[in-house]
Amino acid sequence: MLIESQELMQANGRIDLTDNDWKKFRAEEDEYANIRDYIMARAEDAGIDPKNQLRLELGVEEVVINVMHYAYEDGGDLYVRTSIDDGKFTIELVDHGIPFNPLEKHDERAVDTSDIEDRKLGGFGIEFMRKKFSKVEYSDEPFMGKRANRLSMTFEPKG
Amino acid sequence: MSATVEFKEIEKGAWLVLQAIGRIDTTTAKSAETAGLAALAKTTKLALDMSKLEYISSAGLRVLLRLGKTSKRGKKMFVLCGVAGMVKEILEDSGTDTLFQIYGSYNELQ
Repeated sequence: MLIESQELMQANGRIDLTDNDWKKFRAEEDEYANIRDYIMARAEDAGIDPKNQLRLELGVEEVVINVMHYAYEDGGDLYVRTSIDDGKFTIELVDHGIPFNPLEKHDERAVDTSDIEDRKLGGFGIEFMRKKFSKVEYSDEPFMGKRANRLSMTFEPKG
Repeated sequence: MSATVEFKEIEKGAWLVLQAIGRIDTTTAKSAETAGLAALAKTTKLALDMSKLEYISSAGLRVLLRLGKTSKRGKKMFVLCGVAGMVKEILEDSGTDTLFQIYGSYNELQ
């Protein structure tokens, strides 16, 4: 039986119920399409146009996949909340995994100008996250009573 | 929105054109790589037509790099065509555009 995350959190009682639009997912790669579809549907509802939706999706994919790779060793939950304010679309991601601030991750890609034989296959993700969102904030604070990683990313549609 | 990728093979002179239709992201990168490597095994001149590709992420760029590296090792040619829109934006943002020969359309291939 599928239990809505909001009901779970209400039962848990630690979340402000006036601010309870959190949706719970598994932080595993096979869940990625569900998370993307959820966020992109909210973006469409928020009036983000198709071209900007693709830009937003890129930022979303890079961040969500990053969290999935680093947060948990044995799986865990990823909470998602979106909001729109004055045309700016904000996505918050919370996990209870190992403390990890992706903003501090060294980005090798930015300085990798080697030719194709030596070009690394990884490392694009953080760079795209920085490029696609106008604001990215990380905080380390309790969520549902447990220490958590919280990422907040704001997307501003471009003309 | 269809979250898949499909491939169509087109013969253009000495070139095999692999047309990618849809999206290459985390969920479809593996099948894209399989299709790309299979096409590369059949030819010495492979062109990836991206004109019908709506979306590509870093998972897709890794596929392009892998195809590029594999073709170089095999002394084959691998080029891109029809790079536009969001796909063009991400290739430029990542500097990946400088690694490949890029044609406007596969009709320009000689």
